[in-house]
Amino acid sequence: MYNRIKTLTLMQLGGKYSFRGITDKKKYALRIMFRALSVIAVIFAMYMLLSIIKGVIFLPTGRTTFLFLLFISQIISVLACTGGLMTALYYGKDNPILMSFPARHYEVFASKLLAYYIGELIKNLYFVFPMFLAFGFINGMGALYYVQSVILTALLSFIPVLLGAFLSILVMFARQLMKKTQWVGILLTVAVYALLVIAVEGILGGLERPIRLIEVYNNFVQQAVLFMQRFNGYALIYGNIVGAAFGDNVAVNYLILLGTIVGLAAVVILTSMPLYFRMASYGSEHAAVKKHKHGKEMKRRGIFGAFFRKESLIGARDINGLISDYLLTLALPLMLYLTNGFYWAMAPSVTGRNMIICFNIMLSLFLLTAGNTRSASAISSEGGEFSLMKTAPADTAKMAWAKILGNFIVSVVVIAASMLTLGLVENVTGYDLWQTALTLLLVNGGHILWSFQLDLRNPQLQEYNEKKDGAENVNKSRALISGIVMAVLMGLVAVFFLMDGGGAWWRIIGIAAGFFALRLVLFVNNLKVYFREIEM
Amino acid sequence: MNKKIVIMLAAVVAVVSVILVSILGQIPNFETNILVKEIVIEGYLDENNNLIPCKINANGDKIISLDEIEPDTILVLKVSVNPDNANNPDVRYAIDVADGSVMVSSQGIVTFNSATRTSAIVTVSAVDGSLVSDRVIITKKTGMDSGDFVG
Repeated sequence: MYNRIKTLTLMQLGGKYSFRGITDKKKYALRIMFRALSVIAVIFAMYMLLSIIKGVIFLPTGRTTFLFLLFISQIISVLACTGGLMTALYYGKDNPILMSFPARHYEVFASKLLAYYIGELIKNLYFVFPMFLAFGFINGMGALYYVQSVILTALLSFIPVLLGAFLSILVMFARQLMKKTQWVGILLTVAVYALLVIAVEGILGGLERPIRLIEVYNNFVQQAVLFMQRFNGYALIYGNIVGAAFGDNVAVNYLILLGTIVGLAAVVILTSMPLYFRMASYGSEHAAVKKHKHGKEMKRRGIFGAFFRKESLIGARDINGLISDYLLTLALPLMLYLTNGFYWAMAPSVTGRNMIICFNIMLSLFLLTAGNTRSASAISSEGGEFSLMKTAPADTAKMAWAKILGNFIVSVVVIAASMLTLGLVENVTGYDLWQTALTLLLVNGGHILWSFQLDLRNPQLQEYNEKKDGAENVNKSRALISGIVMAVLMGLVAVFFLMDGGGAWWRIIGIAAGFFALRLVLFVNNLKVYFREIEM
Repeated sequence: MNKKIVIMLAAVVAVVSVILVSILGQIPNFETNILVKEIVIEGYLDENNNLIPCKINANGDKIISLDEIEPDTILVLKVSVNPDNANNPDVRYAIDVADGSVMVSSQGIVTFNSATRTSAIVTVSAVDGSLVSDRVIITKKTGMDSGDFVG
């Protein structure tokens, strides 16, 4: 059994870290040296960061701060491991191969966890281990502390992996449920949004006005320390880990840590392992369930209407995917309400008001353009079905416009909702709203066309055909980068003209309109040439 | 490049924007020449932000007595400055121990670095030249403490 688990683990690690082809020992040594240097660089960077926290921000850098940072990092680790293990365990591309080997399912499961643990350990060598050392240096700890750092880093890496393995099965159930009953996902999103609105209301309502951040800095530092102390109260096992590192009840703390790891392993063996095979094979067996409706009379729509209806239907069938794509865009009104609540609680001067407009434009464009990734994968997401589109006897321009119209509609609605929020709610003063809205509409509109054009010129049909939901699309990354660049540029353009004086808005809107016009011309020209050229 | 980076970037820009507007874009505070008249060390804040008030011993000194003093015991002092609209409400914290076994930060956070140190005196004084100050003795509780306090 152990040999089979070892072989399966090595196979997975071989695929991930591919040390196999290395015959040149010099190259191998160079690679290890480079990695060791990276760890030293991270330790140095963390030490410098802690020195700044201590000497400039005036926060303590003792055990309280260490526990706080370690706890936060491990919460993130658990979340990342849950997502990562869900993909590795249940949606892994290697699953069909591993399952076909002469090995039991629990051996495949154990090998997957082991491979993931080694990955997590390597990750922790670049983050948790340097953190241990940096805190050791700044607190002048003895030699025993540094020896313990190595042992504790190795033991610590078990916790997020085991917790992730347990939680992934729950998330998997929730995901299957949401696939079957889409309203659960919508309901959850609305509930989370409502809770966030209430939280923001609470934060803004409790602010003393006018805020003078510099004058309340001491209070801020005090509250930060108290918050860390409160938060550390929930740190559970991580409190024992830090206690052991700092030499408190070392034997007891190690026993508690080992007991926790064994306990978590037992929970995983009893709950996740028996369900593993069923869940891992569920994804492909129940990929599509179709209900047939009879007797429905079809209405005649124009060509554009037919294509737009098709896109709307695809969106409606995967409403959770749609929400996921537009999540950042939908968060815009809330984000603007929160930031503007702080801005307007500060009694801004004329310069301050101009700065607020620039930051509103920049932040809005960050979130709006991030939602345009749907247009950046509009063609690629067709995958193998794109050949059917090409056979349709219709103008390709109509197909393309039908694909991006939904993106335009969502953006316009969100921009309108954001400006209405800023204009109507308490705690915020509406200022130059229609000018801001028009600028956002033009720049974001241009970016939607740009994003679609990226996919038009380099469609990833093969990638989507093979991997479906798991496909990686380079056009999405390019659309995100171009969105960030546009947001920063428009923020700078706005600050330049607003500080310059009269007629600033006409110049800002003129530049936004120029960008939209340029993208429109390029879009139309590219559409004429490239759409026909796309081949499977 | 994925959307997580956009979220992080937006969060950083949002925080930086609030700080920048507060530094460069606020109407300045024109009220000047109001000196600090009184500094009061009210006590310390517990983890839940509740005020644990100082006690007064038989000599009239303010006392904060702690059940335990361990390495890394942290105490956040609560100090109020009167009047509220003093032009410069900043205060300076000083401690009577110079060996590093207990320290006080410029934000009033007292950190014990050694379990053997069982007492320290923290003095809080105004920095606007008004020469106003207050002080508190922080000490570990002993069995005789209970009868000594009047407040």
